[in-house]
Amino acid sequence: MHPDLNLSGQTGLIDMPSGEQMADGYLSLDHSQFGPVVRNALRFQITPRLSGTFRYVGLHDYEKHLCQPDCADGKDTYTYYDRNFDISYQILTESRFLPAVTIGVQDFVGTGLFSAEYVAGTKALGPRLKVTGGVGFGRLGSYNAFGQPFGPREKIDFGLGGKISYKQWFQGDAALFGGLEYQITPKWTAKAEYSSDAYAEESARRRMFDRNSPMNYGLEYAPNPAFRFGVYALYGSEIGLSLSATLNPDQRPQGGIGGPAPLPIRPRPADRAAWARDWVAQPDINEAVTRSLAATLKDTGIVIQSVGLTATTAQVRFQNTTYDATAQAIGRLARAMAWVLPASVEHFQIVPVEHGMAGSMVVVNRTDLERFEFAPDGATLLRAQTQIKTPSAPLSGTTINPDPAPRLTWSLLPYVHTRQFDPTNPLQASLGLRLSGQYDLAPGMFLSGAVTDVIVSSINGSADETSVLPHVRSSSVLYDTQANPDVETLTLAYFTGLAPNVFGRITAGYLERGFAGLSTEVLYRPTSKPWALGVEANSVAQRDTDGLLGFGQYSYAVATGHVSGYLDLRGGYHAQVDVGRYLAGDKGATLSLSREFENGWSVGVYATKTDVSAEDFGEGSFDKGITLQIPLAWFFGKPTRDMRTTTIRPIGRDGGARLEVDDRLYSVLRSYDQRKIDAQWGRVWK
Amino acid sequence: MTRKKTACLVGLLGLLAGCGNDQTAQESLSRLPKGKALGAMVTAIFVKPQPFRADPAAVATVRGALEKAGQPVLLVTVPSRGADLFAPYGQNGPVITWATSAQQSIALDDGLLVATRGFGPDLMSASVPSLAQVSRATGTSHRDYYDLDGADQNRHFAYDCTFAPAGMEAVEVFGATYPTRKVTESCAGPDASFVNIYWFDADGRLRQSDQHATPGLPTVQIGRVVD
Repeated sequence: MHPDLNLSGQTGLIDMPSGEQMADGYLSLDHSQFGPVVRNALRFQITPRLSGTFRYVGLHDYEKHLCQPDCADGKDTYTYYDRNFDISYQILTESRFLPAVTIGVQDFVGTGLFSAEYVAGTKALGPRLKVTGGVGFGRLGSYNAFGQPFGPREKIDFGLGGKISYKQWFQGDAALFGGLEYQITPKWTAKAEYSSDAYAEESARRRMFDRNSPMNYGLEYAPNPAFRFGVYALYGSEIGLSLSATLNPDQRPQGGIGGPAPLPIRPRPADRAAWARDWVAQPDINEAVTRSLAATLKDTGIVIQSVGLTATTAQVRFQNTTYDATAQAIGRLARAMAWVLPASVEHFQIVPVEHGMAGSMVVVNRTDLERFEFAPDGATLLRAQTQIKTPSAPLSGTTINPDPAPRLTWSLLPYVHTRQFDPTNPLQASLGLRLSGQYDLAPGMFLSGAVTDVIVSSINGSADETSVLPHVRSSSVLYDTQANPDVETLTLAYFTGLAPNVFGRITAGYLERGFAGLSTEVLYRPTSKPWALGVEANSVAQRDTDGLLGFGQYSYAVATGHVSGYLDLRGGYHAQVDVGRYLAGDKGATLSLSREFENGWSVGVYATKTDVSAEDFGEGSFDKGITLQIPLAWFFGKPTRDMRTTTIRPIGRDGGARLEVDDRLYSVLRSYDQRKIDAQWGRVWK
Repeated sequence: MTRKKTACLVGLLGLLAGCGNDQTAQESLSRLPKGKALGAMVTAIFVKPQPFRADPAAVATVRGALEKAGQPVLLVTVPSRGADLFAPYGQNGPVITWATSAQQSIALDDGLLVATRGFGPDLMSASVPSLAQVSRATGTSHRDYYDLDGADQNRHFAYDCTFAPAGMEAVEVFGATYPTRKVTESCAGPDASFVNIYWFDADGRLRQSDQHATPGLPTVQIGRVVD
């Protein structure tokens, strides 16, 4: 039986948690509702035993009873929203005689309204029955408590939130909970549980619903492993519903990637003596090879930048516009080179170029392509003979492709912009059109911009004027509501290699919606090392909220910048530390940790602490959030480099805010370091 | 105005299309399931797909044209995905790559499947017995298969197989019927077991075969339409 998620989005029964964890890496979205309680949760299985959950809870009718008889200002329809973070760790995995046991801490930062701790054990009894029992504290120890095993629970002093409430953990009343799950058919599951949550605040005090019984019953339907629907009879008075979606970022649902078959390897004549070498002396041979390579690679999304040739070596620099796996682009180009190049050319130096910078160099021998094309485990055999290293200089006489990709690329597309976690309306959105374009002035030099026009919008709200810091982010809603049309970006950028493994960027202009100015960056990134170091310095001024090109409204300018360290840890974990000065002039550091999957998915968290006091920062005390990077190839099952990145920032304030600038060097070059190429090396033969 | 431009503008009004020449930006939008396709996706969760059936009259016409052209042709059928005609595309040593115009390919080492491309869950490489050994219909073989999982990681599957004669059988390959000698190769491994089936015609030529590729492409049927 699969572990399921409960109404809180945690592994569990109905409203109670269990001793189980989801499979490693699984990402779940869960929505549930009963009576006045609505919960939305995002849960990630960080390691096989450790999970983290972010939950957004809405309590309808929160003041309806207490405000009587004078319910002015819409108090009777007021909904209280709260953000919860949970963490749980499985201390014992299930074995033949022992249950799976998980220790969990719920809502451990913030107001603590949903704070609870528990130890729960779950054991399967045969293939269709699971039994769970546990002991809960806090909210989960609030009904029919048997005592206070670890002493009384102090009242939480949450202040402005953002504090970890470890002093309360496992303190105060403790109570038992438990239940059964029975798999009727592989798609239908019945559940029953005894809940130790008294809902004291919601039921007894605020009369939002009647808690008449500790017993809950449920029936769940899972048409496939990705989706599950549930209907419940709760607390003797309420009907509850839940919907959860679970996906495994590690595995594309379609398995191996699709897309058109490649060109076969065209082997050379066996008689080496007959291989001509005098072709090197032909005038215009580089141009001819460039043309045939480009023709062979037509419609593949591989754009030839330059070709250099000797009698035995070819160096081809190219841009990959299609393949999410660099290895596949390298394989496709190698196949085209084996198809087109004269027989005497044995060494292929394949150099992926991104934003005008040579990302790395993959050196493949043509003989190995020929002998391993159909060899069992040919990818491993080919890799053993292939080098991935810092690019060497272009060969003498290299020809730049006079006719590469179009210099002007543009698109006019609909877009959706969301504004989350507004206390009165937590999900607001606007739909509009975005015109974006880029003009390549020279290798590595781009003029680009984007303009949006809102068609419909539910975004409203006013700026938080209480912030004592410069209003670098608290005014963001003004840009949402007043900028239409909005010149989001308009920049001139130049990227270049400064020395082997050293890269530079200068971006000038309207960098983001809020700020314009100059951004400069230098990155040291050795191709074959797991780490990189960068420095960024920016001088920017705050833009007007009308979305146009002026600066008169705020007359706020700031020098901001960071020293950044990047480290690719083993096992798919990645760390980044940025130390420096933030947009409001505050100084501090950001720590980001993420789990990266080979296919491009990444799930991470970050926290920024600066010299702004919790009081000056305001609610939340410091900036923190969840980042998701979603490769669209995962959904389509076909190669595309299109990516969606999203940041869930429960509270966006002015402290610890970082300038948003497109195409920071580390992310631009990331796909081309040795580890990233090797992570998807199997795609070289796709 | 070109048709493409008209389509992009009309589509844009319905917010279902984009305009421009930036392929990457538009790709995601163009691949979004729309209307009917979305309905089909939902249906697919609950309903199993129907098997593929060809129209005999159309088959006869196409076969006539193919025979007249005289180029070797294979009919490759993948259950639940349909069938297509494959023509020679390249040769490396004994391995011939056959491909469709729809840019799928299979690679056969003397008739035995060693790779597929363009199907998605492709067979990346394999070690296979010789056709002579298959034809003898006796003894055993060891097979190694390699594919990529949904994280692009190399997977290795090993199987031990036993050959056996399976009598005489008439098979129909794209509208023509052949008397054949049938041979089975029963394979078992830690993850799965399957049976490859080979049909040798009166000339001893491998006329048709059912060969295992990967977990996501369990059986590929390969029939020789034109030799």
